[in-house]
Amino acid sequence: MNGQAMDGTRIASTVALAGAGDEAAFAQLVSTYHADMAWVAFAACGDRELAEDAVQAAWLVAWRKLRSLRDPDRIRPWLLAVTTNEARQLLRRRRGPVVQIDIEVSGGDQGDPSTGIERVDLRRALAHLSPEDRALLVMHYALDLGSDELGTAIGTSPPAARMRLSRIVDRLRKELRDG
Amino acid sequence: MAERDRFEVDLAAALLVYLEGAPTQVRPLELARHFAAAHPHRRAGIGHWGLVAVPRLAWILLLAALLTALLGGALFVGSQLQWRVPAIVPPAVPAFVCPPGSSPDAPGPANQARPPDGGPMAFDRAAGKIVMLASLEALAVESRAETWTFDVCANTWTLMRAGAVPDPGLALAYDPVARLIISVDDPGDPIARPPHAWTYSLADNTWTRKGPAPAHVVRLWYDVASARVAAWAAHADDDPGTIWAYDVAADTWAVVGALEVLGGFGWNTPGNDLLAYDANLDRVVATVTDGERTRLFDMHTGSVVDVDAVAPWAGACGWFVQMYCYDGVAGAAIAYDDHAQRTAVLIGGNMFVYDDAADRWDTLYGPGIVDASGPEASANAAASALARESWSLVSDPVNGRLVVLGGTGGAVLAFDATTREWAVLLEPSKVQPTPTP
Repeated sequence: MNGQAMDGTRIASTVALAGAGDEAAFAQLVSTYHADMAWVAFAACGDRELAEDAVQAAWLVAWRKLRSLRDPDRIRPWLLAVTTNEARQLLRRRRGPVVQIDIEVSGGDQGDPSTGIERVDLRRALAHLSPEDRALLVMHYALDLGSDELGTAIGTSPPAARMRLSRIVDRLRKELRDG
Repeated sequence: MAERDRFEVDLAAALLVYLEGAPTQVRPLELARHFAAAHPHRRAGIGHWGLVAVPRLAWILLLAALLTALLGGALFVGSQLQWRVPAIVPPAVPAFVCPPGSSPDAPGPANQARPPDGGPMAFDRAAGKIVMLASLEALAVESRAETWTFDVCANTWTLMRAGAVPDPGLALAYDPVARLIISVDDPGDPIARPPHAWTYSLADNTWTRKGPAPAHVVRLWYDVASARVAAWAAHADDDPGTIWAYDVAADTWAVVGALEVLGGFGWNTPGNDLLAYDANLDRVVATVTDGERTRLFDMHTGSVVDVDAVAPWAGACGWFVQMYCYDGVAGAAIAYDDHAQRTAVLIGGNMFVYDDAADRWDTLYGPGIVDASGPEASANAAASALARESWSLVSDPVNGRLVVLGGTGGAVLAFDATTREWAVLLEPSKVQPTPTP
């Protein structure tokens, strides 16, 4: 997690307060989860500005609907699901059905040599995935969500989430390793 | 999940590099405030409702009937179908508001009992009251402190006979999640008598002594972004400045980082160090009095950044502002103004706020500090008479203003950063303070 972690009791009380309209509590949630959501939105949109819009839209949804969240412990995957959904809707509205992703490479943009995967290759490979699949990748490989949380985030069972992730990785493996 | 293979490890690392371009910066409180203003929550006094145990078929039939009626009605009048927010919503926990009939702007009764002396204050958001740990040291009585509350809706003080009370330290903070006031006592000798944390429940009117706490705590605040109480401790000989985080539930302290603010404690005047947590910036705003600099501390990373904003009081008066610039008329105090969303400093009768966008301290009230020995200083002293001696500055989110306890005489004043006007909430008393029996 990018932000400061909260324990279960604190999450429950903070979510309850935020859902009731407490600005400080809501700000606390923003502080804790915004970076996670920005990552997911950025991956889904492939564009920084769109990602900003998507995250802001997601927070507005959270502000309105947080009280409907039954299990506060699920706040993180719930927020990521909302973010992914908003990103997807934003892409549909602004760019039509074709998903594009920025694959421009600036100077020195060679990625981390220790990773063995060039950034430009990664971007190109990501561009071939759907926004939801890109979001799922980030949730697991960057944010370390387990299959339970992934299931919550994409609205499936944990085994189904694992299977979907496995297929995405296989596809990337072929594209990035086999060229 | 199965253990990651080499490709997955590489993929994760590459993703992290890629995500460096993500827009992660945000101002949490500003966003929350924006939503609260633009999309206020309903505060219906209607109880929670849920679906009763009715057979599924009945629900389906009912739904079908309703849809048919709705569609028929829509076609009949030729109007479009529109989704509407359900009229019944779960109950909300309202933020504290003054009860109907309150007069928060009218001065409280002048002849009321009031704290005999000043002390640190914090605002209990749940109760809508300021809590003050009033020092009795000047009265040379056995007990060293009393707990008082100030009702910001009626402008009245109440002595809380709270049993065991901590030796008054220099700061209080309110934890809105735990709904507790936090204090660190100051028993004098931190080696012989190590300081302890204390919590105060206004609902129970009880102080609870907790475990050992850092020595020389000068400031306490609630870090909204991290949802924790934090403290700044400093001592001329032992500690140039350390920020601690306090987990109230676990009663544990952890070092967040070092924040050196040369100034007050060097002259054995702890409490004058001007730093406060700015919830809007999510930074601790501090002024470095010898260098006229403003310093920002990131609670998440422990990093310190010196910005260009010059503390306007430092150049003219140095750290001796209280003693030499204004003949002791005014003290120095700092607080984050929840309503204005700015860190405010009251010093020498001037009210300054830190504007991060312009990276400067703006003067909201008073002519500003320009020359400690010149005629402007005298004029400023006259202007500062209203502000009197500021023991403590605290934000009152209920009425959207800052509240100042006026020191000798126990006046209570309020400053509205929007109108830049002062209001007297309680005139100073002409009666000499006496120990409460």
